[in-house]
Amino acid sequence: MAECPRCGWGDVAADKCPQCGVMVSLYRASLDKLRRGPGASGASGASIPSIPAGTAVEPAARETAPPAPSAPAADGAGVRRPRFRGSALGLFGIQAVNALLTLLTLGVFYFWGKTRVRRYVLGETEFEEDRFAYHGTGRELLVGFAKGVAVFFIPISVLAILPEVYQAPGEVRSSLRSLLWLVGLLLVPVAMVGARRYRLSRMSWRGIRFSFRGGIPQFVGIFVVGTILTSLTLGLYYPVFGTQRQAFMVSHAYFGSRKFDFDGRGRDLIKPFIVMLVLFLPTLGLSWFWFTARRQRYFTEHTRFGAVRFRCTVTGGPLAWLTLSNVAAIVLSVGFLWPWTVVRSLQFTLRNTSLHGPLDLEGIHQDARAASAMGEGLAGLLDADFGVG
Amino acid sequence: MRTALRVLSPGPRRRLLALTLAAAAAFFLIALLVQLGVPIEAEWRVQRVAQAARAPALEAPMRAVSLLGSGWLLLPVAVAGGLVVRARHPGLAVWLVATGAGAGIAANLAKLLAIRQRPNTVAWAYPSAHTFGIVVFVVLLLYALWALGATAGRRWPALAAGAVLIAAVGLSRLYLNAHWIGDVLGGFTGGLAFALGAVLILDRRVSG
Repeated sequence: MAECPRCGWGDVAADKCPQCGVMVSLYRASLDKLRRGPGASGASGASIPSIPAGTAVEPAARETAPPAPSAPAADGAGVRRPRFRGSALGLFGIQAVNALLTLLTLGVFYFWGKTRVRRYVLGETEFEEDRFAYHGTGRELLVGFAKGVAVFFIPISVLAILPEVYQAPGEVRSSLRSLLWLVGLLLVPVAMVGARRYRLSRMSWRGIRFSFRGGIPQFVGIFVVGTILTSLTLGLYYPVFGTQRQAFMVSHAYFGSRKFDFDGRGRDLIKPFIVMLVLFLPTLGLSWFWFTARRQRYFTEHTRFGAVRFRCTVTGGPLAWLTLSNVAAIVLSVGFLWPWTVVRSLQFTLRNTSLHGPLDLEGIHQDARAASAMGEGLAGLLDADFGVG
Repeated sequence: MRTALRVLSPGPRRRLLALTLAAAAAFFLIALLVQLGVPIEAEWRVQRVAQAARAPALEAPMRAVSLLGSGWLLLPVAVAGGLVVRARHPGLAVWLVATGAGAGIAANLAKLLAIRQRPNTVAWAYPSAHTFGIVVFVVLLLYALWALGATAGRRWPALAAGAVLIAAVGLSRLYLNAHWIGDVLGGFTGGLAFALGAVLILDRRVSG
């Protein structure tokens, strides 16, 4: 029994995967050829060769790539940086077509438009001379949204409206309100995990899929306890809560068969958080950017992938300028400059992010996990992107 | 001295219009299919065959062939051709060059239709602008020859050479791993629709 290199189905007896229908040998050979480039030879298989720090990598065969090995992407110190190759003009064009088709289809194309933007943004993000890929479809998002509406939105709306319509007693209404608040509190973490699971399952690099394997009950626990403790401590628990959420989201993420790790502790951010609160009014709120940059550095620098550590050089001043100028640009241009703000934000983030240490990809193999788009649809319903990728 | 241009009679004009519409419909249909990922298995197969054929000795010739469909080469050639045609018909010369420039813009705008990566993972796969460009170039060249009164003895070899050129550029894009077969077919149908549409307009405006 072989494993499908495309969808991860583990029970492929013949050459054709019963799950996704791909011809396994064909798919493997194509992936292999993509990785090796013209003229090179090597064994076929869905694992990635090891890339020691500071040595050449093996990018996908590209138009300009000769059979000889490419130049090293990492510098002598083993520092690697992702890059965004896209342009604001390209994203603007995609958005213009999306807007037109969304209008023409009375909103239905919205889900396909979202997919097109993700496909472009990930497709223009490069690491080690290879682009990421997004495999999600508009249909999945539409179905996920419809399921989210049917399973959560309609029942909750009915529960909220019926007591008012039938003039239920005050106690019943207040009990229902509490119940709905509780359901809402539970729904947010469910949506966050679902969205994360869906998005990572649809991302790949060099043909190897990402995945997210965190369980919903565990995250609901973190979320509910964190929300209550943050309220009880008048917000002081917020940095710990934020770090726990980040730890959950990162340490359950996988690239192929290898997981990411996070070793941050929430209490490390309490002092900067208190300093931010103290300085909030005197700095007219600008201390928030300083804290956000500090938190971003902390989160990034406590993330690991095997022996690789992530580094972040974001500081408060540039982050404040980026955020405020983006808001000003969007407001003054009535939204027309949105693509420009997206591109410069991405470039800012990637410019300030680097990977340090030997990128040992030996032994990583395809280990994709199925994921429905319902959590993604729910996240869309709640209008919450959660900033989790 | 200005040469009188040949004009399409109603019958061929209608057939050309039908062909233009069919090519445009095929172009949008392929865009929809590749966006939905429908032909991806077939595209993988073709890509596998094309990549299996790669050999060091073929790299440079294929790059040279591919360059023939590049706007950086086609536009100067179109301008040079326009200068030659100008002696016979200045209006036609201007229109041909303008159409060539318009084709470059149209091919790049058409890339907004279907967002997907090329086999080498670079963005903007559909349609192949090289194929689009070479199809427009060949069709406009054939039209110019016909409109300026070239004999069938001259037009048929040009048609055969043009067909070979289009096929070669399309194949080179597959060989160089720059496009999927769907992108090349999209470039062909899109270029054909654009060029034939331009011919129909040229036929009315320049000769009228």
